[in-house]
Amino acid sequence: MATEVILVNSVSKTYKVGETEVRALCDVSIAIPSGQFVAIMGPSGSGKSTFMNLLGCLDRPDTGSILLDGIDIAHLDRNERAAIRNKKIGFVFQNFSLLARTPVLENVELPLVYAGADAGERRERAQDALTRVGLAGKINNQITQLSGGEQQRVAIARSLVNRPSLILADEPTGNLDTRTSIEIMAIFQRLNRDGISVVLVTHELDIAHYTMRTVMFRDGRIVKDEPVAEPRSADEELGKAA
Amino acid sequence: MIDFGMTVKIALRALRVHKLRSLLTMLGIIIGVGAVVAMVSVGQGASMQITQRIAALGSNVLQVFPGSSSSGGVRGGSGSVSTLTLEDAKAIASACPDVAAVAPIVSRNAQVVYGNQNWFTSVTGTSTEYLQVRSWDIADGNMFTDDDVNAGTKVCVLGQTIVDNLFPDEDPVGAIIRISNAPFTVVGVLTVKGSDQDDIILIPVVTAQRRLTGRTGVNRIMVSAISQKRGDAAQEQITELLRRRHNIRSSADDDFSVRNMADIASAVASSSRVLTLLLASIASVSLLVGGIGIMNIMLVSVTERTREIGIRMAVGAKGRDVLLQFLVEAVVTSLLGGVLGILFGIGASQLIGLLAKWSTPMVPGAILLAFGFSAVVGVFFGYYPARRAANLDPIEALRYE
Repeated sequence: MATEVILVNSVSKTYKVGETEVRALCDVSIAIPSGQFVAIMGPSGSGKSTFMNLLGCLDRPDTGSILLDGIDIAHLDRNERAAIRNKKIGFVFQNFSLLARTPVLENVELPLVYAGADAGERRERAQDALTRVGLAGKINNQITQLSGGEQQRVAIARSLVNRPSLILADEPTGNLDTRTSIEIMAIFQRLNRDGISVVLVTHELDIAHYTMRTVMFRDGRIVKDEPVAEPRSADEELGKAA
Repeated sequence: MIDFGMTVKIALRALRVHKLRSLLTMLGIIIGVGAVVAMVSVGQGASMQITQRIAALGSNVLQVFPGSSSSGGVRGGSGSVSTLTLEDAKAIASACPDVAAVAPIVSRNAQVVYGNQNWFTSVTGTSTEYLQVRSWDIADGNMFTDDDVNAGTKVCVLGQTIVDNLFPDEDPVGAIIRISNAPFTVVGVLTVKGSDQDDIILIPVVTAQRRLTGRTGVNRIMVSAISQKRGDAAQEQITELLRRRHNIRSSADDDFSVRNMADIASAVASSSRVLTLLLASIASVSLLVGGIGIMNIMLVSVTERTREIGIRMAVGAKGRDVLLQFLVEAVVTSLLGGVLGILFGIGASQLIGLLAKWSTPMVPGAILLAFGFSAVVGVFFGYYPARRAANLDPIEALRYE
């Protein structure tokens, strides 16, 4: 049985933009062990977004294979990919991507709605997830009543609610100030300690320092892949500041 | 797989978010369904009204009208001369085997006076068989006799409306009223017929010719066939007889016309059916337009909510979940519009009925049809936008601003 949550084997992906072909990924291979916290870095156009879309089962590679929890996700059709996203993956986006005009609790319940869970179970698990991100008191608020950091925590709660194998966070701190960013990283670190694998895209080295491993993309290839020498603890950082 | 109750809940929330827009979208369906329901109901009411009136005349009744005159190549219009005579009526009675009763009609409107009361009404000169032709009865007193008809005595039989107006609290039988200044003795009172057919005075036909019209012809001849089935046979016999009596050559047109009430009834009924159908189909065009309105707004809504669709897909919504969500939204819009439209249509038809003073019956078939049609409109016009939403690429949709 694979202990890797992600096993990518020589994956390539080419986009057609009009007449020209863009090689977004070129023969990329990587293994991410279960329980790891990985930062993906690289300039825009380096292929990291494409890589995240492939890991997130939003897209398919042209060649190569991707095993997620031992399941080959490279050759699934639309509906099968939707089912994998629903069961195995939690998404956190830079712009939070919550449903406005929908209460916090229902936003968090959303993946469970598509998983076909009944109302009681949905409520219980959503409350549980909100407690884990420290928003137990705001379950009945509207999204618009929350600050940016709180909205991102709702998004993290939503990514947790299906008990995924992997959380994919695409620049989750990109729209937040420094202190709030560290608070969000503290939540990711806590979840990671609880055993959830997290893959995070970021531009900021500071943020990458809270992870265990940095993978650098450039021109569709992995150019650097090394463990973080001295991982910082976000909780300690917050304690210092206070 | 998402459960259906949740889909409806999501749809209702989406409609609530844009209340005015949803209402305006629904308005197309409301007007469409309302118009169908109201038009069918009013059409039904109108045809019922017409059929009732005709049925009140008796379905086995034929009417013979005088035709156009033709003299030296100059043709007058229909009824321009009285080509029908009392003798024609008598001949029909004696020579046509399928005729049960014959009533020549000479009628004219006249002022009638009794004491200090007066009333303007239709005075009909006819024979004793009139009662049989119209299947009418005497409520009080007697009908005038054949002797009265032949002698042209000044006697009359009153309809109930006349009694109400001239004799508010008196027994009319035996009283003397003045019709166009001539004194007439009231010998009887007719039973109530309704539909304002009671506003009538019957007098012997010869008396009417002498006192009212001063002419020898009759306005028309009412004939009852021995049964409704023999109506056509009676019609043929009358036509043949009258052509012979009027010396009409085989190549020439009739100078009279025979109209069968059953024919008229069925012609009127079928033309009012056509009219109802026409009204309903015009109304359903507006339902179609309403449907296009739904499609339009749903397309706008799908574009506007591309991000929402992307989010839903990212957390695991399958294509059919998204399809169902938007389809349900369209159907909920059109069904809500349908329900409101039915209420609106019932209200409108009641109002029209009140103004036109005829009954506008609710036609459950039309209501069900309009409701079902509005659901079909929702599905049909909602499918394309929903399909478009379901086929969005989640990556593109998530990136959409």
